[in-house]
Amino acid sequence: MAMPVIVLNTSSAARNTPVSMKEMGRSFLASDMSIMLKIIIPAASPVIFAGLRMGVSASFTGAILAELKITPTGVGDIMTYSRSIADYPIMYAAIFSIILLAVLFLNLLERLESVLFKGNQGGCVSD
Amino acid sequence: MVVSPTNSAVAEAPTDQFEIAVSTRNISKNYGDVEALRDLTLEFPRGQLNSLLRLSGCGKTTLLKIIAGLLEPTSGEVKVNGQKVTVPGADRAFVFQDFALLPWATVMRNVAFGLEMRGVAKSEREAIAERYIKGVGLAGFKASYPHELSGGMRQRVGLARALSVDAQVLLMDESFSAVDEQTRRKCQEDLLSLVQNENNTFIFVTHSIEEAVCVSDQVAILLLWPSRVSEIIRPISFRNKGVDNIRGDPEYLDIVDEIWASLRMYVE
Repeated sequence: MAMPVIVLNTSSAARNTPVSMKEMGRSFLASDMSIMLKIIIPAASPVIFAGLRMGVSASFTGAILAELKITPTGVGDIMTYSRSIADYPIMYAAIFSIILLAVLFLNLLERLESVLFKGNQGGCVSD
Repeated sequence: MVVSPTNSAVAEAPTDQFEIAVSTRNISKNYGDVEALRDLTLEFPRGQLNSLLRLSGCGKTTLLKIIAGLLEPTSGEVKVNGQKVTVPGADRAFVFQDFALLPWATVMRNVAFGLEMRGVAKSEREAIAERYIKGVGLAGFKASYPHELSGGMRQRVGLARALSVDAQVLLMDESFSAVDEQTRRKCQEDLLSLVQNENNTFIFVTHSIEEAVCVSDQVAILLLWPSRVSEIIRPISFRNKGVDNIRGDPEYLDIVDEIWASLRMYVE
């Protein structure tokens, strides 16, 4: 469920790297590999990370849905079961723990992004 | 002052007394049906600042990118120090109109980028980069990111990056057009002292007549559609009078007027 979002985002971001940055790489004798690693990927990183964030929420939704509807395991099973025996505290605990986990994950991603590509937070400077 | 107006497609540059660093021979470039450059032959003497003055129009930077090896000409060839070139090389460095800085990298990393790509070790390239950062007057900003700098400062980062790789030929693509007038004047003055102190050959594309005459040893005027050399002017008399006196020099003003008179009919 998360795959298409991440892949599509990444590919369109990579295609949209400013031409002048790639030309800059070439004129300073960067190999194709270093243009890829040092220019295209960092330039695409904001959109890649946006894709990852959407991917994370999509994957959480997917996992919980599967646990609720298809396989009676994990958190989904706890929710279904505690609801059926009217043990609501447990049910809500399960729901909130999932929300907490998702928020934690997204924060972690954001932290990672700001550590890896600090200057990007100021937006793309091209003028 | 030497003015040699020629209306032929190929203008003979009066450059016999100079050593030629870069020459283009019969360069043509077509974009599909559009002819951007036709049969362009030009010579750029070593250690001087050569301007390409162009009327505003598209394809302004085509010739510069061909010299840089970023674009391939449809026909013709470029020689740098007598060697034919087709791909980017260590002998040329480019200063981009839009700076082309890496926004996620500090000034230090941006300036050291060219050296990094040449495989220079980290400590060594940072020492070299530091020298050039200081040289362009950004000593306190080496840990800043491009978005924290003003336009003029960003351009100086681009210039330091090009200088740090120690290329003989510096290609400047309207490098000052994105900065404000005051910064631009300062940049021009810096450029003049740079030309005097370093032995690089500069090829400078601009659409400002004043800028071209003010900073250059040789101004080649290109006409549009398709581009060809209309004349080559070598303003020499006021070159040694110092930066402060150039703009008031009568010959400077004469040349500016003359160029405008010859270009006026092409501007609509």
